[in-house]
Amino acid sequence: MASSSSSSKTGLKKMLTLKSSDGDEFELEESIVIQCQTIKHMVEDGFSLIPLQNVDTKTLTKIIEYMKKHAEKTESNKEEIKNFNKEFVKGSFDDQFELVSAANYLHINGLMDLLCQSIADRINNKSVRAVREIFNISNDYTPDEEEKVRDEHKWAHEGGEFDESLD
Amino acid sequence: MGQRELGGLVRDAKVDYSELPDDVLSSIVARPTVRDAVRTSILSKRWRYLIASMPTLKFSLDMIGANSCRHKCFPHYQQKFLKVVNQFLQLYSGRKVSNLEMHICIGREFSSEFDQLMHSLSKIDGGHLEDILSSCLNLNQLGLKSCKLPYKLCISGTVKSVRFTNCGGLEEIDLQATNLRRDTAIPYIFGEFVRDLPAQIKSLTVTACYSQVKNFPTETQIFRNLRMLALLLENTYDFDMVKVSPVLDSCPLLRYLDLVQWGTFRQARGRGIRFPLSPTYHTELKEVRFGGFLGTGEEIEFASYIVRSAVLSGEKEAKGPYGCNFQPCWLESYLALSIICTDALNSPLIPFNLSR
Repeated sequence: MASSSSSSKTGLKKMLTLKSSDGDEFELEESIVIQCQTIKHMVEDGFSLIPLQNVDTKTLTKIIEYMKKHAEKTESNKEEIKNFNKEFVKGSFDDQFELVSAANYLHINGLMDLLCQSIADRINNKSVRAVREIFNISNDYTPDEEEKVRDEHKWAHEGGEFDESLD
Repeated sequence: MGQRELGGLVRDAKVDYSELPDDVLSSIVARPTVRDAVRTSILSKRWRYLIASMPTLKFSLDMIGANSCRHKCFPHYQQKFLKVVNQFLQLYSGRKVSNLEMHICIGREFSSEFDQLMHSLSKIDGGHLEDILSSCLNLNQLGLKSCKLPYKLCISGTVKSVRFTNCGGLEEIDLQATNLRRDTAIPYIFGEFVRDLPAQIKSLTVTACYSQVKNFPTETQIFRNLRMLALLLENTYDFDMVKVSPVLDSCPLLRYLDLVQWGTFRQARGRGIRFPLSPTYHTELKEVRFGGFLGTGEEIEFASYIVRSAVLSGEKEAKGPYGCNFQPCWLESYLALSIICTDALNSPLIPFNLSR
């Protein structure tokens, strides 16, 4: 995974190794990785091999993809980044929850924003039943309690059709 | 800190999303429209109050299913809007909201509901008028009419014009004028702004920068009650301190004057043509503090003008020639210098170093 593209400068660039919970190692330039606040703090503490027990290889690969792309961000490629982001959030809800949880753990603010917005957009106007299903929420209200909560904000539940789909 | 929150989270093959921490869920809930966010409160007990942590609240007619273009002024929607928002804001009592937007026109007939809305807003943590104002980044004109205002008001952001009409309570204003229109900022502040100020204002702090201070007015409105004036001049360029003197003359009751320059750039140059300063009687002046002075000719001239004015007033009562020997030492190390004029007979003027 090391970037050998800028061969003459590689000697100057500080490399870090990220280790996923599955034991796979990824070598990356420090400048890419410090987008992630958690790792940045560890680097400041002198770590160069960073074990991430909460992030599996699949998720870490995606996150590295994100960090690499966003490290290239300049004034001129805004559109490209935008398209990348659009593609990046296309996965299933499961993938997104996995990513959001890792992004939260790693403190990558930009990615958190992107994912939370995407999840929010996707549950926009969904029915209560569908959202419960998607988030795997078990309803612990009694029917009476639920009715009371519904009454509290009656306006939000009335009018319009809600989307029952789960994707 | 936060990065260890998920430390104990062990991933199984099938992830249980109820394990997502509250702050992640809150971040998600904070994104959709208020309406969609509110609907999440019915998901389960855990979700019930997650909506009360949205940092940004946007209320508009759309959220109650009305088209804001077509239904703008229908009283039915105004009433419903007020009811819904009022009810929603109950949740936010004492909580923090960093951004609040509301787009609605409310008719007079709903004034009591509107009052209730303002009351709910003031209960939000950070919902005090001052905080609301300081977050109104796009506010251009601020008019306060027949209001009982807080003791102190801080006005900042992009405000271009401020007008008070028949307001009580306010005694202290901190005006961060750095966004007022460049060349007319200071004439505006010491002209129209002062004219419209409530008479009881006792303290005024003005922050101005760059070219705003170029045009100091030679005649200004009179501050009848002003006791404390602070001028914080940031990043000025070639500012002639003597220009401040007419402002001083318009504050007959001034007791405390703070003049602080910060990040001042200077060019070596000769003194421009200017009328000599004639000392004015400042009978009340007790303390003048200078900060960030460079010790230029104008600054010394201004400082000695103050000393003369204050001494003259002193002589009237005390006849003592104290202060005559005052020689400001404008050493480079004097970043701040304070002149204290006391009324007491035997107290000499004490210049002292406030900082390094």
